[in-house]
Amino acid sequence: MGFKKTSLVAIAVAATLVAANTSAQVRGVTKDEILLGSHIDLSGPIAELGRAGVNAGKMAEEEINAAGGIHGRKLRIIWEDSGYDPKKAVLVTQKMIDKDGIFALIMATGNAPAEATYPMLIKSGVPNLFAWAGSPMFTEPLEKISFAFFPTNGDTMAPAVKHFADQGKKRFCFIYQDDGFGADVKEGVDRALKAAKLQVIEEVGYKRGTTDFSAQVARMQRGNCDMLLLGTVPAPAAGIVQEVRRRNWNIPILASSNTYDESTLRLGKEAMEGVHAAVVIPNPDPDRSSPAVKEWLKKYQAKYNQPGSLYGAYGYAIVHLAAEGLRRAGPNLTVDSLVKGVESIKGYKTLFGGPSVNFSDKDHKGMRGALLYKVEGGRWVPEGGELQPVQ
Amino acid sequence: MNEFLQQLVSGIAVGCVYALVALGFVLIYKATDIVNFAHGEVMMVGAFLGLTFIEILKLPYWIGLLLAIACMTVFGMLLNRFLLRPLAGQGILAVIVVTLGLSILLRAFASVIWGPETFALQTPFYNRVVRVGEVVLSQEHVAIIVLTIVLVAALYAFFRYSRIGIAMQATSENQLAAYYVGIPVQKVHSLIWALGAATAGVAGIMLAPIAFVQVNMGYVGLKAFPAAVLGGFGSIPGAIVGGVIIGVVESMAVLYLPEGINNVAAYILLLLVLMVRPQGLFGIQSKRRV
Repeated sequence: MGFKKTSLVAIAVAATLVAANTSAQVRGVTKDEILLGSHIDLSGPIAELGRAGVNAGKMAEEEINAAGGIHGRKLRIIWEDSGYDPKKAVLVTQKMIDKDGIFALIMATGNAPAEATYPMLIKSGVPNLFAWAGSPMFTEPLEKISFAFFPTNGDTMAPAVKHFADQGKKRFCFIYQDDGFGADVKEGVDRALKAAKLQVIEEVGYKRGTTDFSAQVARMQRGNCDMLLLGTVPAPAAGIVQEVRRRNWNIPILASSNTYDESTLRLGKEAMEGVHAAVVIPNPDPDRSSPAVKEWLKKYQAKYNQPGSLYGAYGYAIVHLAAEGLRRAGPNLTVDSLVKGVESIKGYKTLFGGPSVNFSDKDHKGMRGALLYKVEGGRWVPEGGELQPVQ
Repeated sequence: MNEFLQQLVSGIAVGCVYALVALGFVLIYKATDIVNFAHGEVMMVGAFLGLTFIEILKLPYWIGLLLAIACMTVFGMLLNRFLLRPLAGQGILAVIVVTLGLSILLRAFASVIWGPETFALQTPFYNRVVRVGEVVLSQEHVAIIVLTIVLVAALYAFFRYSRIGIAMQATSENQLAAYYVGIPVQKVHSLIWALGAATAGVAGIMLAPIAFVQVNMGYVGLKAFPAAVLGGFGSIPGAIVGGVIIGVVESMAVLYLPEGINNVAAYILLLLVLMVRPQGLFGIQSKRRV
């Protein structure tokens, strides 16, 4: 063989050896550590939410490691700031995949940034775990390595609507925001009513930025309904509820899960009394929570000198859920064993309550049930037990 | 019938808010040839000032309103002096970019100063009704209509009978000629901006109880623009009429037309009117003899 051919063979042999070696290693997993990454808004419009989530997430990370880690490995999470900007989210995720070599991405925060980074995760074979965003993209169509935790708006609204249909309400009217979010709620409403063999009697959408809802409410009044459904963000919900009560119309109202918020109470004032909302995870209220949650609140306050909030609850719950999946994956951790591990989770409840979390090889959605809350004495109080999902 | 009248009144009320914003728009355009794309945000600043005086400092409603108007006049003058006057002679593109940038800047500042949340503004008309025969009207809506009528009447008298008003009209017609006859054009521009900002401020405070005070309130400006065009860009009564028409059409469309049409009803109307009368309802069509 000539000089050229020898060196070619040598290079080929070396390359094969290198390839064989690296394929035996799982990206992001060493014998001491599991490396996860996350992108979350720490500086943009939902920074308050993001910072609370990261704080509580770090708290969970430390707890897990203090208890010995997962099958002898410590958990390390890289928390990157996305600024709620899809472009920035893509950049930091690229860096985490290529430079840091993360095993999986957890808690991608915000619909727009999380949807933007989803395709690259699937393409690189990096699991998408428990995005903090309710987009249906992460589970439809079903991808082996993508799991949701935060339910879609439709999945949360459907059990609540079905509950009222089962209780005898027949004529439903629906006011919704005419965009992706409202469409999501509408999907849930339609699905629930179909399961109850009913239909929406009268419905009207409005564009974001609409200021006066008297016309929409007047139209609903004409429909002679016995229940009003709302798929709106807090401010219009408060406006609509005020308009309804101003007309002395005592119809029961069920609002979508994002209405379960202090701002709706603050804006709607007395008119909000008696309004129902579909809820996912309840607020960790210092007065009316379980001892475990009270303990969590104390710990959070001591560590961060700030009260723990619903946002913190989500961050904490997601990291612990990820740990549960990693534990079930076993000591021989690979992407495939992680998938099997998460798919084996059934009937899991977060520390803060909320509907149970279930996965299977056909269903990666996580939390599909809902809770029901209602406004009493100017506060959100629980109403009944867990509502089952509507398929 | 009652339902129709109620909806008509609420449509007129919202239309009056559009009309007031469109009015400020047209005032500024007529005098200075500047299309202020930030006018919706100027309205938002007025609403936030009202919020500060009435809700945060807890002053009585009418005092808070007057103080907010006073602050807005100063704000308008400052905008003119420091942002727009340096642009004299720079061409339309520069002006568009600057006013668009101003709208972004105002939203950002409002978010930093008052916060990105939504706020409620309590007025003495909250939750009260007025009965006219069998028709029940919200006091909020009636107050808006009455205030708009008062404001428009005051402006009409101002422009018709006061020296400054006539000077403003002169400046709008022909700036050069105004200079020649000794009108202090720079001062007049300042005052026009003050007036435009003040009317926007009133619109914002009127709108606040219905729409709540928040950083994105300025999108109402997107409705005021077609209102001004419908009335004939450059016509002040046109802006008022245009605004009211759009408010009423939107309101009626939600109630009586199939679902979804209400979002485009106002714009379809605008297209139809412009096809028949391209200069708008009250606009003047100038023809050039070649």
